[in-house]
Amino acid sequence: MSEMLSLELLKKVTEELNAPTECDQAPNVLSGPRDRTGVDDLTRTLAGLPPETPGEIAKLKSALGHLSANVGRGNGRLFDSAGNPVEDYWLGVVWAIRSLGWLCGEAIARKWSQTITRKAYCEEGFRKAWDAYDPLHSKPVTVRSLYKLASALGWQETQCLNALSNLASAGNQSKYQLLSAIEIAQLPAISWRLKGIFPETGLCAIFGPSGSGKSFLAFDLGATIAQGEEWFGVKTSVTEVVYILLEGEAGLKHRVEAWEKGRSKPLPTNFRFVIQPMHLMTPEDVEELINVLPKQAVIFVDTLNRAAPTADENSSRDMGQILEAASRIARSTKGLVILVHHTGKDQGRGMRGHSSLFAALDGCIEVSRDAAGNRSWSVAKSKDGEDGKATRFKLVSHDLGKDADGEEIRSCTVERDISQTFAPRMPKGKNQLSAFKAVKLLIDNSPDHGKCQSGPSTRCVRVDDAIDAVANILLTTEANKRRHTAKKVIDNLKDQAYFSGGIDSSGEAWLWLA
Amino acid sequence: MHDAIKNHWIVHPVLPPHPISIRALKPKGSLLDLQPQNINYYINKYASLDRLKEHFEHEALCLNQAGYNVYTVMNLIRDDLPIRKAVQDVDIVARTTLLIDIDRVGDTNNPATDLEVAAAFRLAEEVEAYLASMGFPKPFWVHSGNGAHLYYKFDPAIEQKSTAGFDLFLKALAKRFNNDVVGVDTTVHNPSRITKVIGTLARKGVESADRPFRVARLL
Repeated sequence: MSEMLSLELLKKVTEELNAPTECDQAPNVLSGPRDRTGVDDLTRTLAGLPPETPGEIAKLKSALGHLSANVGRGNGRLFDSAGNPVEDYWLGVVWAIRSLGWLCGEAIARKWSQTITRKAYCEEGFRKAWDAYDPLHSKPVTVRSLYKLASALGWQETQCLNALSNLASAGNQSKYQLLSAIEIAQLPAISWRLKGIFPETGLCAIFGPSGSGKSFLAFDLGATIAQGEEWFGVKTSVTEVVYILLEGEAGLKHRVEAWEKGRSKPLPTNFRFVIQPMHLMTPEDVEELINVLPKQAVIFVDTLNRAAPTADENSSRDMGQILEAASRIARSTKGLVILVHHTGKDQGRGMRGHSSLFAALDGCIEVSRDAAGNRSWSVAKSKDGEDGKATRFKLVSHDLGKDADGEEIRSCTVERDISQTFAPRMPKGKNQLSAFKAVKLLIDNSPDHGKCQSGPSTRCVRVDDAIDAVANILLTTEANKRRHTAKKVIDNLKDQAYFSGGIDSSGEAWLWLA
Repeated sequence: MHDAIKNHWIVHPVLPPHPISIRALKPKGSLLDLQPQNINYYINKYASLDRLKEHFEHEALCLNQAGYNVYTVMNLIRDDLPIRKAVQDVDIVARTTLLIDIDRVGDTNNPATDLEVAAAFRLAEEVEAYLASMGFPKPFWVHSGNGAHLYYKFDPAIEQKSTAGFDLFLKALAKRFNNDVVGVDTTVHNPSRITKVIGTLARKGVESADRPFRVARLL
């Protein structure tokens, strides 16, 4: 960069930019990429905005068919701050169509507005509303909100897509397609909620004997999915989670408290609970539940038995009804339903109840506890993933204070149990091994606990002290370079996950064993 | 990331005796309990410029690793500012930098998709081409993590403390170039404006496969 900017040039360009342009003189003409009323085609494609194709136009018209122009003008919003559809949405719909930047958008919005019957259509009012759209608004209304509103009012995108698909099929004379290996390879890959174990949509289960910790495990999985973090080293994809707790609801408060204490962070707000009784065999219950569930969520039903208390689990007819209800929830929400279930009397034979249950599942985790009290979970079934992954875990009890009678309140969280699985790793390089031992000795004898995100009982040392300790053993390094080398060695050990580190609120850097 | 931060000094060189500043803020949507951190570094406290830079880089990366988004002030700071004080407009003695920040418009609570970033870069190319045609020098290009940053440097630094000229320039640029998807951020005009430390991870909201957290880097 050879040249520099000057204030004079900045001012000159500002004036030039503020000079009127052809676009300013004819603001309503969709004349090209610099027109602020629309978006150029490439940017539209890049940003994932729907293109102006017959399919997208048909979809928009289909959604508008479920929205009435006989509503109040509104303030341009389709949903209120609590996420509920507003009653007066006319302006919001017009602006949502405008946001598409389609050439035919204005005509579609006008035609929809002209369906008003409670008063006469006013072209001037429509024009003013159309022109008042501000694309630079911090939260502009979008067509996605319009589709969401239409869905809330009974529109189903799938019906629309099916209709379009049928139209296309009619053109091909058949609804069946013969796919080649190449076409199959081009089909979208399966989307996982819990990678390789639970898909994003479908019906899955977590089962185990009483006292195995399956509910704690399910709770932890829910909280982890709600954050999109790894669960026992398995990737999750973030989404809303609803936990229908039908067993042990009295302990929910403590379970939440324990989780927050164990993880040192609040439970994610997109992890919510239903604690009212719910029967999968009662269609009204299922319908009412579907109405409150978010789309593409993960829904835990804990336990299956409590959700179908009158059913005979061994009857194929009753189990069929249960499975149909659970599948209906999954289909309607385009989400994943996870049933928490007990094992039968013979634990070696898996889940309690009719065999159609296991057959219907897209994924299944078995939780077990051996005679010595060791707990583990394993993949009992994964339709498109890998079966048999087994992982040990333990329940860590947390002291939550005392109740009104002065008795201790305790609840548990789930943690990976590596005590019998892995021997501790040791660095291989000579310098690294010596440095690791020196810092570990310092940490083992440190009086400081729980700094940064280390966990309440984890011993920590100041990074500066660790550097001093390592520098003291680097006898073959020149004296003036020892601290620098020590810092590098410690950084390498951190990179290799022997140590973890963080900065506390006063700016002090700390180190602890990973 | 450890090497990428070295490029920070290309765009934001240390100009003694003016201190350099780190501001570490809790990312939007983070569940961690992170209090804002301000640290100002003075060359006279270090044996050499390299030691100062090394210390700044170490702190920036540690804070970033602990969950913070890490920022720095772009312009010249008065040399008697307390070490832990946040830099304000009155603490800026001169401007060295004009930032044009191009990002998606609308909901920016989560990281941008690759397509949204591509749209921002496309607009940045148009803005740069226009400004070059008007005599602007070549800027430094930085991937901010969610969009494009164009940094233009003033030499000598200008003693313009008011925001008016910069405010009007960015607004005029936005009026000419913004579209429904991406646009010029008109709020980055004030003298003590902070910007991401190059080489640090930019976090916001929830990370997902198509909306990843990205490292701010010099291009």
